[in-house]
Amino acid sequence: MSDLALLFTVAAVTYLSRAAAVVLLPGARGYLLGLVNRIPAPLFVSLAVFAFVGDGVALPDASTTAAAIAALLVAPRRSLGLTLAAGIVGYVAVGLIL
Amino acid sequence: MSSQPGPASLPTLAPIAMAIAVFGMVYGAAAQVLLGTWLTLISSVLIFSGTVQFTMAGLLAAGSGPLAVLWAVFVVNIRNFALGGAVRPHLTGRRLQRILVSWFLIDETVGLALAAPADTDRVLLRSGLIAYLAWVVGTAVGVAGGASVGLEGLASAVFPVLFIGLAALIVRTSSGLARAGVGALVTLVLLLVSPSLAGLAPIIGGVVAALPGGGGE
Repeated sequence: MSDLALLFTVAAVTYLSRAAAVVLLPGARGYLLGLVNRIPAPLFVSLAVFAFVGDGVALPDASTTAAAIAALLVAPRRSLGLTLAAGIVGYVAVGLIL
Repeated sequence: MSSQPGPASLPTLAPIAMAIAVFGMVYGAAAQVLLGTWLTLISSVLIFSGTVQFTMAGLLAAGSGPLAVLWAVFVVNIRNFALGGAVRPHLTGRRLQRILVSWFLIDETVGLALAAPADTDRVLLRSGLIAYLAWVVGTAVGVAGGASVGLEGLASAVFPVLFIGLAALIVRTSSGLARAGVGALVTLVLLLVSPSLAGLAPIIGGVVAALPGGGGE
C-alpha cells in the first residue's frame, strides 16, 4: 500500500467513525441515551489525564504540571478562555522560574 | 445572567484555534520527515485529527506496516462513537447537514457544542471550520519550518489544559463532577498499569464513569 493510499484509508476510517453515530447508526434511546449523555464530561477529563501523563512511562515536566494545576484552579469558573489563559500563565511562569 | 462569551464566540474560539495551530505546527514538522511536504499537508487536509495523525506518524516512524497503522487508527477513533452519540440528540439539521457537521466532530468542537445544547449545529459548524483551518494552516507552517523546539513543550502542556476547560464547561452537577473524577482515576490507573492501552484508556475511563452508579449516586 502506498503512503497516499494509506492516508486515504486512514481518512475514510476516521470520517466513518465520526459519521457513524451522527448519521449512519440509529439514535440512542432509553438506557443507552442516558449512558451516552453521561460520557462526555468524564471522557474529557480522561483525555486530560491521557494528554497529561501520556503512556505512563515518564512523568510530565514541572511546566506542564503547573499548567494543569493552574487550569484546575480556575476550572470552577467554567470559562474556557480563562482556563487556557491560566494554564499558559502557569506554564510560562514555572518555565521562567526553573 | 452570565457575561461569559458563548461557545461559538471569537474570544472562546481564538485560544482553541491557537492551540490547535501550534499542535499542527508540531505535527507538520515531525511528519514532513516521514511523509514529505505534500503528503504531510494532504494528511491534515484529509484526516483532520491530531490524535490519529500523530499515532499514524509514530507508527510509521517505528516501521509499522499499514495494517498495524489502520488498527491503531480504528482504536483511537472509537471515542468518536461516544462523542457522536452524545451530540446527536442535540442536532436539529437534516441528514445532509449531519453528514457535513460530522466532518467537524473532534474533541474540542464536541466539548463546545455540548456546552450550548440549544445551538449545537451552529457551534459545531463554526468551531469546526475554525479548528480545521487552524489545523491545516498550522501543519503548513510546521512543514515550512515554523515549528521551534519550545513549541512541542507548549503544545503538550496546552492539551491537558484544553480538556480540563472543556470538561468544566460540561459538568453541571455534583454527580457529573464525581463521574469526571472516576473517569480520571480509571484512566490514570489504566495508563500506569497497562501503557499499551493508551489509545483506549480515555474511552474506557469515560464509559466506566458513565455507568449507573459511576458518579456515586
